[in-house]
Amino acid sequence: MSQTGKYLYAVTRAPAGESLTTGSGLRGQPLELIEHRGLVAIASPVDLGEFGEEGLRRNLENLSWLEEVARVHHQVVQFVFTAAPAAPLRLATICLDTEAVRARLNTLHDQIDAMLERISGSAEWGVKMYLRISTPAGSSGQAITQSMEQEGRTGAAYLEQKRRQVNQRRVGEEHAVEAARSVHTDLSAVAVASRLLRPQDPKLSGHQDKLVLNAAYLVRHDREQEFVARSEEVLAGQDQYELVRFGPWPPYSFAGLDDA
Amino acid sequence: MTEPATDLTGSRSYRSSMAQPLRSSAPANLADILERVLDKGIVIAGDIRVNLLDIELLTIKIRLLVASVDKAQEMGIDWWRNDPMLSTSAQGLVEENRRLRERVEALELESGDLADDEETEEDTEGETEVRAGVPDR
Repeated sequence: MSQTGKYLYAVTRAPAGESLTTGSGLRGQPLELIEHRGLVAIASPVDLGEFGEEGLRRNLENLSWLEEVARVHHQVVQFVFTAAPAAPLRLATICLDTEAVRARLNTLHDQIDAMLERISGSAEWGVKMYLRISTPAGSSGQAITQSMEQEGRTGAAYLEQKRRQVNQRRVGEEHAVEAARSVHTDLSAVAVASRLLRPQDPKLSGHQDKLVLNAAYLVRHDREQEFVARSEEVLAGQDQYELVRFGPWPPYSFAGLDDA
Repeated sequence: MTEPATDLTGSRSYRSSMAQPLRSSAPANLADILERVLDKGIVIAGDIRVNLLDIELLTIKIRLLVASVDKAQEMGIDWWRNDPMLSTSAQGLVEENRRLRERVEALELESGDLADDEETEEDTEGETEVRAGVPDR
């Protein structure tokens, strides 16, 4: 390895526990704990040929490279998070040496400490809710249209039927937005905090199911069962929706330093 | 992709045992990971400056990709690798394969004129391996 830097994964509070040094980071390099004023940054050495400014500019555009780095980054963050309350750093945060890492911890000490306090004892849960287009509530009613054509109905009737279908779909989507709001309110009630994430555009998906809720919830560990149970019940009997949940995750969406 | 440390993923079971696994739980897919590691978490200016403009362009590109596969959960880890249009390295490989095929065909034609077919074949294979390895570096 030529010149190296320190790639940062997460910050936690001291004592971080020596067991963390058994883990490995990017390119199989051992994890290092860099402590300063009660905070511990988890880092590993990286080659600045690959992770320097020039290397990053090139590599970040390479999706295979990005995928691998993102997955290792996430694995290390998970690993740290299972041992202690920890906040992830954004991908590709790199300092030149240990002293530079300590300088960052010193400058941002109070903000980081306050943020760790907020997320302590909690985990992030992601929830996405879809409106199934294939169900009556969201359907385009193609079968009806076909049967009408077979019956030789007039063009005016066809248009009228079409208009009604469009209307039905619009109403279905309005209901879905209402249902999503209600789900979000219900789940937020069990959570310490919540974030609405950017919706992912269905026009680009090639899948017709419409994403009506993309949210993250910060849930205390002792309320996880309750959160999971509520997410199971909240749409019971409403087959036009699908709810996808994942967690517990490190609190990525709640680790902003300006969120106080 | 190599799993850098299996003990890292193994440690997850500690938490998942706290909550019953339920049918609607989805394994974390790459789209969800990227959505977070690129966009969330503590933002600290490191010594290595990542051009934010680049990152934003990248993020937009990823968003399009994320959106395009959002419902394709079954594709999981390889979702863009499998689509040559989406992967730069795969694009390279497609091109590389095309050139290699042409070259093999040309060599096969040549070898038809030669008495010693076997030796020519070996040469071709050796060259194929070397060239196919290039895009990975």
